Amino acid sequence: MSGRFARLSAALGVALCVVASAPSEAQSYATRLVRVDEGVVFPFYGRGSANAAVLVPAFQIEATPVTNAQFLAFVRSTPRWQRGRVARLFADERYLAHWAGPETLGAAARPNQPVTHVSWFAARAYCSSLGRRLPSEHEWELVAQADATRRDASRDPAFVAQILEWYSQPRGVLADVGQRPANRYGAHDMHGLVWEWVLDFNAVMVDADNRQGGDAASSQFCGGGSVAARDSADYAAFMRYAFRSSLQAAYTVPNLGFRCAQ
Amino acid sequence: MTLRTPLLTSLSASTLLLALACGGGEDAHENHAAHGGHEGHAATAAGDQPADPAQHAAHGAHAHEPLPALAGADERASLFDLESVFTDADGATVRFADLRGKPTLVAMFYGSCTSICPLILTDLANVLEQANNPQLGVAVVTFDPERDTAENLRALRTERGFDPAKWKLLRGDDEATRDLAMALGVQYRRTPDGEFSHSALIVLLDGEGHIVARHEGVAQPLGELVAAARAAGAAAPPAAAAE
Repeated sequence: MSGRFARLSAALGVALCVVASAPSEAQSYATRLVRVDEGVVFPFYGRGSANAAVLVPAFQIEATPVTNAQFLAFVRSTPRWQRGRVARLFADERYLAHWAGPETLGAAARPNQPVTHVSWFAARAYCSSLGRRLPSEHEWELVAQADATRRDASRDPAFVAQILEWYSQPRGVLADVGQRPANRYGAHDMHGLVWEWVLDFNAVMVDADNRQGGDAASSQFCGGGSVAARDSADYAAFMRYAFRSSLQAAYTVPNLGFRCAQ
Repeated sequence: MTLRTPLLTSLSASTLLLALACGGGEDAHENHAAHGGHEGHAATAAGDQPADPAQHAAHGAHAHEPLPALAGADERASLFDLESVFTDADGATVRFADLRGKPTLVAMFYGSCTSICPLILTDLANVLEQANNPQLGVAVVTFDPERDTAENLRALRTERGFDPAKWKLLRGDDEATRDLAMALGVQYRRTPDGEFSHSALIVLLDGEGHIVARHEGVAQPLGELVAAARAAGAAAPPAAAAE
């Protein structure tokens, strides 16, 4: 199934897929999609080598994080997602707090900066407006483990060190999207700009073996603490899993943005 | 009191500092604190002091501007804003807003689960009985709508002796299931063997869909939840009470 889809996508080309599925009125703010071939990730919840590999079918992902200007276009066309109108269940009180107004970016939010202060619910609604969705955690990690030439650079200490260096740097004013070189897939800013929401960020860091026993909290604890030895080299990825597990879907934070997939 | 406490406390202090620095430092802390429940945990302790003074300065430009008042908006999150549609064990369509006007215990589970789900259902039954609140109902939603068909949910209801007038056993599609889990703060993952790893949570909604009590884990004392469930009234404004 995924193989056929991959071949079909390759034959038709990325541009055609975009045109075919995005609602016409929304295309004005849609980011270009890049194609990601089927691949394998080794997520942290899997313990031991037997079940650690996860096959990710081919998909497409936006080349850059969603910008303030794009999100502004979305909330203008969908007023219920404007600051001041959004239901509190879907976004906390800091939602789009850096914008000058509900429909105004202002000085603290340049048009081409990645949009931040957005909740998971809002990010998902944006993607839905384009006929798209948030990438799954596995999909996002698959793209994130590529460097400029390799599909999986996550075992390269230099690649990991570069990401960790970014994680350790204080954030100044966010750069515009797309300023850094693309990775092998043509995706920019997977590292070095903002953290990104994924569809299933709330997936527990635990595998089937850890469900035994009566206490769910200790199961999660155990899963989080029992990172497989194989993965210890990619501490940067572990950081991302840990960060995601500290989030709630309504949270809005300054360095957390998103991009869509299809 | 939060689902993330075990993980956060499992990480080293340096990891926490780094994670908070990357995730937004002080602002992130403000957000989390606003949701309550992090008091006294390592994450809060780290967040009280920005990981890096330079970072603090960088955020200072906009971090503390007052926000405009939200005209007419309910400042408290209500589960009744969820648009997700579920079906009950008898095939009827249910939205959470349909529960308006009465307090309801809500939890997620799945029928073929042999570990913590039966304990969650037992906890719910015990709270319902001990609270002795005639208005109180229960809504449980499956993680596994594929296997938990309406027929299987009916069988479970019968097997457990759940009163259909009090208990709603619900199933939704994948999106509805995820949305509810997100709204409640329940973590879950489908495992390769088709089972579900998930956190254990019972919440008590008031008649307006606000979460007024949270009970996490299983085999924990139920006293506080029972007390809250006993005290919970309809508390719905007249305009919203019509059913």
